Amino acid sequence: MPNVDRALSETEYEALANLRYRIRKFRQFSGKAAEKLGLTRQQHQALLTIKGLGAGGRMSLSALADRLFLSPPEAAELAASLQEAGHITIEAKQKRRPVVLLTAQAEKLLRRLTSAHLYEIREMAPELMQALRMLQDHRQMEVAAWMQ
Amino acid sequence: MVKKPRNDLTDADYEALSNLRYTLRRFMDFSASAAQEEGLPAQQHRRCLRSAAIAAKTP
Repeated sequence: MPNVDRALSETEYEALANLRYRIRKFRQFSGKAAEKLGLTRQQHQALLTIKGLGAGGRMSLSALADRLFLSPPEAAELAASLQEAGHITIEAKQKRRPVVLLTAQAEKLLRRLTSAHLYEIREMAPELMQALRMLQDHRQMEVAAWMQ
Repeated sequence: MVKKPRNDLTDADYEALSNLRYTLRRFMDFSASAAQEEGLPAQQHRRCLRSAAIAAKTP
């Protein structure tokens, strides 16, 4: 294993601080954009996950919980709040895992939010990639040194 | 040229954005727990990291 306690270079600290700054900035933008459309950050993440990683706008509640790092009760609470707002429907057939489905209203919100997010990501991509590349180059060098 | 947000989104766009967000969540989650294991709340870790980056730059 590469030594985790090794001395870190100036560039690594800087790249890491930079990376985290960019991520925070992006999350801040994202939270505000969601809020403008009446969604909490977590609600937006849930809708996006169902749309992007589910099949045809549907996903099991347990898969959603995994993707959002939520416990089953937390995920159930989030799903209930989304259902109440008319963004999803929860399908709970007997003896089957509950499945969540996006409504047309949620699809519409997601289109607006996703366009704005893709635009923002393309704007910040060069800086983000630079920070990532810097960290990756260092890591590759470190692993190469360890293998010799 | 003025860039406008695109309206013709594909399934791949949604998937890519979801995957990116998942990776960011995993990283931030890892970072928060790693800092906590060392007894640092997330905000303090951020401050330390920033100070270290500045200190490393100072000759």
